[in-house]
Amino acid sequence: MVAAKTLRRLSYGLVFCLLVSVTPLPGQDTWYAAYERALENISVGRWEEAVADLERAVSLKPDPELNARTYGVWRRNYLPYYQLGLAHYNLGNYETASDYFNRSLAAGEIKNSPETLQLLRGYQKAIAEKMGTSQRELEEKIATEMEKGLELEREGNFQEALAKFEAVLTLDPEHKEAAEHLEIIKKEQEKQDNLARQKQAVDMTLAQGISHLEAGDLAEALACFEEVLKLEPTQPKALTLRKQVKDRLDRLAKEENLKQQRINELLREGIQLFESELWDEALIRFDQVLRIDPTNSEALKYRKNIAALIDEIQRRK
Amino acid sequence: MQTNPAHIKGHPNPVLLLKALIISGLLVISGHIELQAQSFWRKSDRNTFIRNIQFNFNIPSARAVGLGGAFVAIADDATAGMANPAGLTILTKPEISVHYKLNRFSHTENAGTEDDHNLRKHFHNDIVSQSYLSLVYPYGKFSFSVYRQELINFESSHEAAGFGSIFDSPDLDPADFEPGSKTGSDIQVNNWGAAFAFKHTRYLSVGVSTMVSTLEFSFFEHLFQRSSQTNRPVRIFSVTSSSKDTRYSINIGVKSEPTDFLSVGAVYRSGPKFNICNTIEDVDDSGGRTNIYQADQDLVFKVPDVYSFGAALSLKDNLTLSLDAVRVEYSDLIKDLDRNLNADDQATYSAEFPFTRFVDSDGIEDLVLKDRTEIHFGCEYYLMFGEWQLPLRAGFYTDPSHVVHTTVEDEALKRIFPRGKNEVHGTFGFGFVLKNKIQLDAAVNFSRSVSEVLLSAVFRF
Repeated sequence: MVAAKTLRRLSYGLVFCLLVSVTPLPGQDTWYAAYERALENISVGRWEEAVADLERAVSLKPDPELNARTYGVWRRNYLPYYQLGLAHYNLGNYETASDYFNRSLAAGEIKNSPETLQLLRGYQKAIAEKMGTSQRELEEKIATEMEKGLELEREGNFQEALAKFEAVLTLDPEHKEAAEHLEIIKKEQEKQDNLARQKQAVDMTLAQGISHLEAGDLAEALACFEEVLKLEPTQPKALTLRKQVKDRLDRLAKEENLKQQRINELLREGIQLFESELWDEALIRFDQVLRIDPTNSEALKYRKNIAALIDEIQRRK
Repeated sequence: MQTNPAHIKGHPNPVLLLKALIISGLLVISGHIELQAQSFWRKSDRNTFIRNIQFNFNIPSARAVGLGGAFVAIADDATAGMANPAGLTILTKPEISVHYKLNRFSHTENAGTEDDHNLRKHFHNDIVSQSYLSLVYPYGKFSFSVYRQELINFESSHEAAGFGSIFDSPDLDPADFEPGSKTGSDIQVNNWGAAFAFKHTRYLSVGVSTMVSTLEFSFFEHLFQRSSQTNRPVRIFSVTSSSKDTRYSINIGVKSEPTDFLSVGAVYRSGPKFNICNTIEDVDDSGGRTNIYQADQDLVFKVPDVYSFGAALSLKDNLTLSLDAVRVEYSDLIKDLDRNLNADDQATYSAEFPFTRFVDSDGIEDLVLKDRTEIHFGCEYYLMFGEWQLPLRAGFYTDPSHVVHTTVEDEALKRIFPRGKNEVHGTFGFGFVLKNKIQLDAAVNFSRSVSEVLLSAVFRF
């Protein structure tokens, strides 16, 4: 019995394994597997294979990261653009290598790894030398890169501009103008990020307010619109909707007030009639109250009392 | 279960033969196993004999134990061959791991005397052993592993003075049986496994592990009574065993990582089914000479099958939560054994030792052991100090009672085969990672009856 059961279970497992094995799909890699393969290829000078593996890693994880978690307890520094630059440098593709080194600098993570950063600077200088760049040519290159950077900055393409200014600073770490513009762009990017976050918060809160409004939850809707106007005091849609909600709330308050007045009036009349022992007339008043407010405790109490009195009178008869 | 007459010397003593038969009938059938905890082999509805076995169903690494044993969906280190073979495909570099365990298991025996039937005696046994050793070699989308897992390493020895408390036969005087019993056991089950795993897609891996399971079973239990002539304890009855057996078992796992932060896994682990042989001896030194009666008894010892399902969630980069449900088929242990106690049986007599056989009269199983489900939960948090990291782990798991217990309404039997208690284990652990090459971990696991300390080392090439 046990053997049969075990065999049955094993057969299920094997069928399952077979099913998943006969339809292999591409893309089994993880970023760290591709990256580690690339590093192994780099260590033995297989540059082209390393480039392929690094491109695979970048497609799975584009952002460089120091001390990135791989699996288990293991971590590693993930600097694929630097490694791509290195591989292309060794393949003699100096311009491509330079682009990857600049991209690595633009991504920023490499700056937290001083040793690697120093190596990168060294390769950049070597590239400049290998490309036969003289001092004048170097200055011209710096000027060209600077000009491109300024143009990109004017166009609002801050990411590309940042890479250009980084490139200038790589060629001339003392270049003040590039450093200033780098700082300006970073501040501008920060400002834009804040604005984007604020806009996102405004849009989300506004949408919540509209949703509350559609559901008839006026108080919640009002709170949302107030919140939006705190973030952006001139937000036109929030201003319009807040006014609409306030008007509706005022109208409702007035209606409620009138209703309450009518209830008070009917209760007063009903109580007077009750005290005058005009039960039927009093009953009519209290029923009118309950039609307006079915939970009115005063009306319910009197109605109950009248019913009891009528019942008692009928019993005495 | 069969009792095979072997050889007989001298003449039978009916009282001792009755006792021998009771013991032979129930010696092993009352085995019970806790998931990674105790197992009692209790036998005899007239004597109290407790055999405790610990099964190490928990994943044997300090990291996994620190996580409360919730490791099926994680399985991302060199213990994956046993934990979930599908997890082997995660590894990108060869690893060797070695794990040690210090285990203290406490148990209680009924050691009643004539004056105090409920007297209990507490024992504990300490074992230090290498619980797991493995090598993993990844190759592309395949991965291979060989390992040795210590499934059971149990040693115990204890003496209980006075076991007469539960004698309910008017023919037997409890005082005659002092100083009682002496029991010892040394049981080892090792799994020698070879695992193979295949990464089918980026999101799904499957793995299978075949294991050769070896059993070394050494056991004795001697009963003594005080000789009226010499006033010294003399052996009157023994059960001994020195068995070895080799069986095959299998471990199948699936692991999926549908997103970067979620992984799920499932494992089926079959338990080997061993044959063991006990030798029963009855010593009768009445009438001026010593007569020894012997019989062999063949028994089946089936390690329970286990199903595990788990999910793990990676929150941020340094926090992982893991949850497993583990179904242990404890009923496997007694499925092929005689589950009837002699108390409500009809005795029939035969000419051969052990002379008496008991036939169940009501057809109702007197001993029961049900399958149980355990819940394991754990969390792992990485404290980062620049390039250095310190993983901290904590977890717990439920350990529902899975004691062989009796359904017979008899106070004496209920004392021998109680229902047992549910337990909850707490676990804590921490580790060090050195130069991204060496991983050292430590963990503790504690409950009412078990205290464990585990140390693991993983070397990555």
